[in-house]
Amino acid sequence: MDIGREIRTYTIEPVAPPVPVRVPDAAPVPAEPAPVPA
Amino acid sequence: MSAAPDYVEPVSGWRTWRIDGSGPEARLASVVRPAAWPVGAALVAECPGVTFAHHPPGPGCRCGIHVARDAAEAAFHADLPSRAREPLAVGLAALWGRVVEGEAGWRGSHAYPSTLYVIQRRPADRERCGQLAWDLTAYGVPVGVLDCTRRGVLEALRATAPAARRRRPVPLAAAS
Repeated sequence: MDIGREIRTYTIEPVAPPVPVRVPDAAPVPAEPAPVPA
Repeated sequence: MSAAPDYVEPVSGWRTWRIDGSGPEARLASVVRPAAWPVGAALVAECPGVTFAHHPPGPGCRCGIHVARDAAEAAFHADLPSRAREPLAVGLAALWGRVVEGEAGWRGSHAYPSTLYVIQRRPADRERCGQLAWDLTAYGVPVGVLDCTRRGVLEALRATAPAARRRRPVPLAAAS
């Protein structure tokens, strides 16, 4: 891919990371036992 | 102590990827060089030159990760007859680190995809492209299938992605 005539050079340090942060899958929460009818 | 950066927002540009389906899940790869784009981590450029060592993108070299200012440039590469049978994706990539700006695009040291479209060229490829798109969601960015069964990549891209309709102006510095 040709970027054409080069104009200038600079540095970029993103404040927010451009790489999505993957949230690990949460551990399964045990279901509450069903209430026992009196 | 490192020098302060010139900018804090990554550049966003268009490019074409090859989809490598040789592993258990499809992944992005560069079309020109055999570089695999990692999931969850930036692709860091390496200079393939052997004449002198430098950190990409070096001056007077073509090294670095390339992205285009205009979607037409990425579409042109995707529509090359030699790539007609390859599974490809087009989309936007964020570029940062050390960056060289050109009239038609940028080349930089670090990159990560930000939007992906799997190119579907034939109606029969629908299921396959859907599977590839599903695999590419591992990158954590929006992924879609681009219907190119009855039109070229650029036309399909402009019909689907608003960002592809805009032509980004060449910076004023280019006129000097």
